[in-house]
Amino acid sequence: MPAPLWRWGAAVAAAALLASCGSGSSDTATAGDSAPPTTASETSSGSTSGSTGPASTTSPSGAPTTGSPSHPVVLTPARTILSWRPVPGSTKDLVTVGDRSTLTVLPGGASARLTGPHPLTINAGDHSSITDALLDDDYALVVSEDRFAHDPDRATVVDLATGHTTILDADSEPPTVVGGTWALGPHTLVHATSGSRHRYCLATVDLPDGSGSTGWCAAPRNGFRGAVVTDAGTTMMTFDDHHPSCRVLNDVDGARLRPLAGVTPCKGWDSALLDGTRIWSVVPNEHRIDAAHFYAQTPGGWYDLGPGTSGSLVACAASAFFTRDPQSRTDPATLLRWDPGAASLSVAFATRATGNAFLSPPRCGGTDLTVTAYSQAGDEQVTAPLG
Amino acid sequence: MSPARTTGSVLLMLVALPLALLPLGAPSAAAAGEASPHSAPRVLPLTAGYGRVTPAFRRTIDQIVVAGRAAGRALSARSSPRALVDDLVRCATFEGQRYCLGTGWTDRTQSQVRSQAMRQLRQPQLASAERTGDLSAYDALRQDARMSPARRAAAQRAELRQAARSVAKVWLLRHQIQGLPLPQDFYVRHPEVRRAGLAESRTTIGSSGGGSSKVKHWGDYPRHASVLDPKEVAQQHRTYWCGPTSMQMIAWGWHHKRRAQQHWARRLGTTTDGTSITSMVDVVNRDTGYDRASYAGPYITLDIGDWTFAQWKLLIARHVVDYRAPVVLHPVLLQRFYPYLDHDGSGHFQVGRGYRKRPDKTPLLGYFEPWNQQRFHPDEPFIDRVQWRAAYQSYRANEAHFQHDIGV
Repeated sequence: MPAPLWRWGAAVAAAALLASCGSGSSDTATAGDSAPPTTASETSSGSTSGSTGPASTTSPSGAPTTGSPSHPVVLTPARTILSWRPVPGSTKDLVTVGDRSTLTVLPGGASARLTGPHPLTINAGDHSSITDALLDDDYALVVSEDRFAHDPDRATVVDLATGHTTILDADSEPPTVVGGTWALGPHTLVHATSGSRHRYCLATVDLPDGSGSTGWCAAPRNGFRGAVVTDAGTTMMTFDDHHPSCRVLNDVDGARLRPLAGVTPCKGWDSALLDGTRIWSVVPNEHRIDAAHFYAQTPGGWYDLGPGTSGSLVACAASAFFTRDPQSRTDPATLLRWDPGAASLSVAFATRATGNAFLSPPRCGGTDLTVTAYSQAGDEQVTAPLG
Repeated sequence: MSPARTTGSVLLMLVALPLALLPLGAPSAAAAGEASPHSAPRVLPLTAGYGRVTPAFRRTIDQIVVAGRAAGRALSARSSPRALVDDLVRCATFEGQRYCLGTGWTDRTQSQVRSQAMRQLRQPQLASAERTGDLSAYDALRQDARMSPARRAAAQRAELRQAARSVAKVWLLRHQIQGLPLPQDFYVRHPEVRRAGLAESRTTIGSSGGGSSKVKHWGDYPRHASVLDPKEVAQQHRTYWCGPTSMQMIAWGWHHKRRAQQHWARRLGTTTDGTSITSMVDVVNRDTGYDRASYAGPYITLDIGDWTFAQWKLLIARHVVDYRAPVVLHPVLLQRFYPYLDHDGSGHFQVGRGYRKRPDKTPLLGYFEPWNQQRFHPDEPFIDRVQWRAAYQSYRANEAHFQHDIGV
């Protein structure tokens, strides 16, 4: 009977494979599947469980801390699902819902539609498409990029209170460049610009008065991406031209950068500052570039937030969110919420389907969060107030 | 090193088990892992070689080409979208399977294929995302319209002849993966279906020549399999060269000799607008041996728009394990499917080359990614050419492409 023999053979082979798997080859798919060494688990309320809890250390201020950079406390998310409601329309539309306004990018990025007190349609130029559409309580930012990479980006900033629009382009000071990071924060935005001697630099624009300045500039053959602006400050990834790039996560302080402490050297991807705390991700396996692992640090400790999707971290309404693919065939894809004040991790959204499901990167609208879910049970785009 | 290098459990299985314990059809390392690419494997997979162009096929091809030539006399690159679609999007039916010029094998009707093309042409914004080298529907039709009527007719005739010669493979795939019953006299009419493959799939042939088969399922495949050497990879040198670079890596895997991307761009007819998947499939057939009956048989462009994920992943496993050949992946590079990208991109080509089952998890797809964003954007870090990711996300990215097709 060949079938039983086949199954027996497969089982032996599977066992042998498990014993032989390693993560050091040039073609491995496994490293991103496993969490780094952990020492304890902790519920989202902060109580540590397990018999081998991490040693407490002392912070520079003298306060005791939990965990350490090398042995962060593993957080198990509680289930605290937000009050999600469906977003009308196609799931192919990229919708960001805010308190009083909604920003929608149509498929293909030819235009963006702002609805609310001052409705507006922003069209991408010829041979251009909308690459960034960001919204908070005060402003909307829509960026159009030339797909031939000839003309610098053209960004439209809309003051939601008045409907007044401001254009940032090659003639602005500092000027825009083709592509590069764009981030919207409290009364501030940052974007890539061209500095002296054609250096690649980070520009900051004060939105109420419209003034801009050029800050830090990258060394030749270096770049930066993934800027995130919050009340607590600005972070971004810098990288070099090595293969793979050495990716460093930084706190931006004017024209200076300070690497975030505790991040695995050269492996960083996402980052954000929140209320005196930091959250970041690393990508341990270059062959699984979308499989990241998230961490956080507060004045009280170091935390292992578990696996997530690289590029999915969003700071919104004093919390940080990132997505996680199903961890088993019976798991849904989830949206995780990191609450820095409580040092807690919770599941804010879970797909209806399990196994074959995933989430788009979430989109913050200031006080609301929107996410699109893709699964075999059907796609859905939902939004929730963060309260 | 063999281009058809199946790794992981297949190799381990050979070490751990006497060959006698393997069931019929099990992909042994000798067959799937260590065989020379130019020698016949010990266990042959179930596929078909090239068939002949029957008189009936020839009449069908003549009708399509002649009608297209008559309708397309006045065509130019400036013709209206409606004229481009009506005159150039034409379908032929070979033995009950439909092939549409520029589109490939599809279950959709000619009318549906034309409607889909019109929807694409009416939404020029869909072509405005960053382009990595996949030819848009509009650019593909304009390229055809620029040809002289005689040259266009010759190109269409060649494409249809190639399709007609591949129809047995289409039937087999639809039978094995979609469950479509084979015609009663299928094996009689298609001696190009290899008999060793019949034994492997435990197919029995009825007296009428029709067949019923017990086909392999996902669970029958090993835990992990891959083809192509992860060292034989390259990044695309121009923003619109994902096609030539994917082709470079596929051919490199066969010949173990790298040829310049410029060479492949010429072979594929790549322009600044990009490369079509039908060109990719054609050049795989012409310039590698992966189209041999002992490998994948003739590559075809196959519409997977109505395929389930289970069928799609089974197709990948069959290709990697049984065919020992790479797949021409055809996704759309949207950030929702590839969140590590900063921006949405266009349609794209990648080289599918493996899968990995995971205990209690959904499977991963292995592929070569020609697009190194760092080369063209100072705002993007290096992305390795060798990638593994959730197969379901790649399936959705393939399905979301306006052509939703694949080269297999």
